[in-house]
Amino acid sequence: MSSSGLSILLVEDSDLLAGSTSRELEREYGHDVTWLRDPTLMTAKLSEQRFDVAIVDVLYEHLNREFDARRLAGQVKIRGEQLLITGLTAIHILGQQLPAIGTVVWTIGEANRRLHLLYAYENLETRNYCSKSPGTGDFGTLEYAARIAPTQQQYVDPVLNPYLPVTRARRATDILLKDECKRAIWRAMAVGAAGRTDIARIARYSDRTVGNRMPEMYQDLLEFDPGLPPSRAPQIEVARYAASNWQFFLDEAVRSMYP
Amino acid sequence: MGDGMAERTVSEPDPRLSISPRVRRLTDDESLIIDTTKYMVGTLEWAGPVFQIAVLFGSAIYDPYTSYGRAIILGLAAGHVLLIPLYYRGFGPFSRGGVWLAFYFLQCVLINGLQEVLSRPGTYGNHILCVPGCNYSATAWLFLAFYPWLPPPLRIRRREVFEWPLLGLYYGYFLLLCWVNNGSLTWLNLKTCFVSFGWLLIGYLFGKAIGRMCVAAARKQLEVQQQNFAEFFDFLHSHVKSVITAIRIDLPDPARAEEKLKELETAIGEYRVELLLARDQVPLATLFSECIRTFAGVLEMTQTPRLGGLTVERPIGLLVGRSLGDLLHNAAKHGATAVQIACDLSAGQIKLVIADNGPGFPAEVLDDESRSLYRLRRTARDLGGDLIMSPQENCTGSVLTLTAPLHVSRSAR
Repeated sequence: MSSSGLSILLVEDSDLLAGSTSRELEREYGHDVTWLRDPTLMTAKLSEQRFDVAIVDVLYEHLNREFDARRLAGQVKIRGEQLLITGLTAIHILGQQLPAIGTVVWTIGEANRRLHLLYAYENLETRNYCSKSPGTGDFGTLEYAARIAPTQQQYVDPVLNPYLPVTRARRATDILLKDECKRAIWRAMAVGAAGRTDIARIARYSDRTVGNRMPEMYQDLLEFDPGLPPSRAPQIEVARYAASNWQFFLDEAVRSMYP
Repeated sequence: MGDGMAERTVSEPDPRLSISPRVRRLTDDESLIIDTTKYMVGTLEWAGPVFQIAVLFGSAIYDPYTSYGRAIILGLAAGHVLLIPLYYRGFGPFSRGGVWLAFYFLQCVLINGLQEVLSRPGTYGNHILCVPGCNYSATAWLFLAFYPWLPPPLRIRRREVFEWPLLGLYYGYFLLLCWVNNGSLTWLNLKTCFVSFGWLLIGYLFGKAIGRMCVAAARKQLEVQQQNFAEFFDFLHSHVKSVITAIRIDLPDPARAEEKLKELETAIGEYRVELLLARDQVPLATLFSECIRTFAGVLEMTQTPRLGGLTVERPIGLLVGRSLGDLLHNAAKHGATAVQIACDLSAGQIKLVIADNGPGFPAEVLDDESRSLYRLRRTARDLGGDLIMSPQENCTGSVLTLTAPLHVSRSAR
């Protein structure tokens, strides 16, 4: 770290964006930037170098695509093998190895990242969020977020603020992932099981248990998202939700905390 | 630049990125038809045992079986009840495919054979209506007529070359059973077997009709997909590529290039909102985020709401999206520099409040039919909500409050 600059770890999959961001942070603001394409190489890097702040993307396209191809081919097992590596894994590793490091979540903010952002805020206590496309065209917001992150101050980009939780609500994980059996069912549906028998086989619970849990899971879902329409077919609704948020339910960091 | 950047530069290939590129496909290929057909069989198959129960039950009552034969046929009918939930849950022979299809046909052959064995001697095939339980196997022929049972090179086309001789064989099988039961074949036997064959043929032709439905459904899916692709292709051409060209031309004049870049950002933002609002459940956080992003460079967002995982039904999403767009646009147009956005959920209602520091406007604007705010209020009221103007405490700017029910009534959809 230079006298005024920070030592920044940038975990971002886009070469183009990582290149220009690193250049800007170094040339304009005098920081020292180390770029990693994804969190899989992070542990080794953290053991050899010290960082003040980490700027972390949420989803990594190459990891996502590779995992999705395996998921669609029915090759993903919800137990015993590594699930999807996302920015949550990076934040989790940082929290374990370098608790004092500042972390900035850097994302465009999309529907399939909603639950990740909630998890980062509620479970990993990340308080700095910066949009990759803030709309202002001002690059300074990322630099500002990076600068204040190690000082325990907060910065939330107005563009990303809607993704964060309503303060009075129960945590998403307390609603959806509290019960081990329900977690297995969510994951079974996220890998693509739709019929009760398939879900039961993958989750390793009986058909009856899966059938009994389904109305409860739908009620959980309604508590978490009261905007969902009332349905007479809870299994269909729950399966639909699992399918559209599979990146979260099959997240490795989430599974390590909620096995 | 730090170590990580030096270690791996852009030009170096990353071995972990050796994934084959995504290949999109918009062709009327067999796989789409086959997938649709298999899905259709899976949803219909449970009806097969229901039909077979009716056939066996009717046969037990009306056909000339020996006394214990009648009891066996009734027992078989009862046994078929067990197959219904099994087939319903996707364990039917056509859902499983492969060797299970052969078992299914073997089951049909055996049951028809058993009906001959249990018939009183000299009675099988002596009734012009049909042989006992002849239409038991009609469901098998119905499913076979559209199920992709042949290996890939023979699928879809020319399958009749294989299916018609098989049907003919079944006619021969009925004749064989008649001969076994009666000791000879009479003209009546031939006619009865032909009528029996007719029932199977009807099942087969119904299957062909369902097959056509599957092909039509697959082609319709493809048409919709093609339309979406064409729209997206047009968008890429008319908005993205042409603006990029314009930016390249304007590179010597950074101010003009910047303006074009902003135009491109707006076009992409609008397109993203359009795609977002096409869903039946709209994630509210994403919708707000997109709208805030569009105006973030123009208006200072001094307060934005937190919405977490909340989604809304499409009509409400459309209303909220339109309100955010119109109200923020108006604020920017009339000289506001800062905006506060709040959104609250209580008692089954969404309340969206947008306050700006612009010059404000009279409440009568909401009653002016030529204004967009009037139309917005009418849409809100149609959905069971409202749009009202509240007085500003410091007497500058405007505060508009949109309310809408969280769930839309059927009549308002």
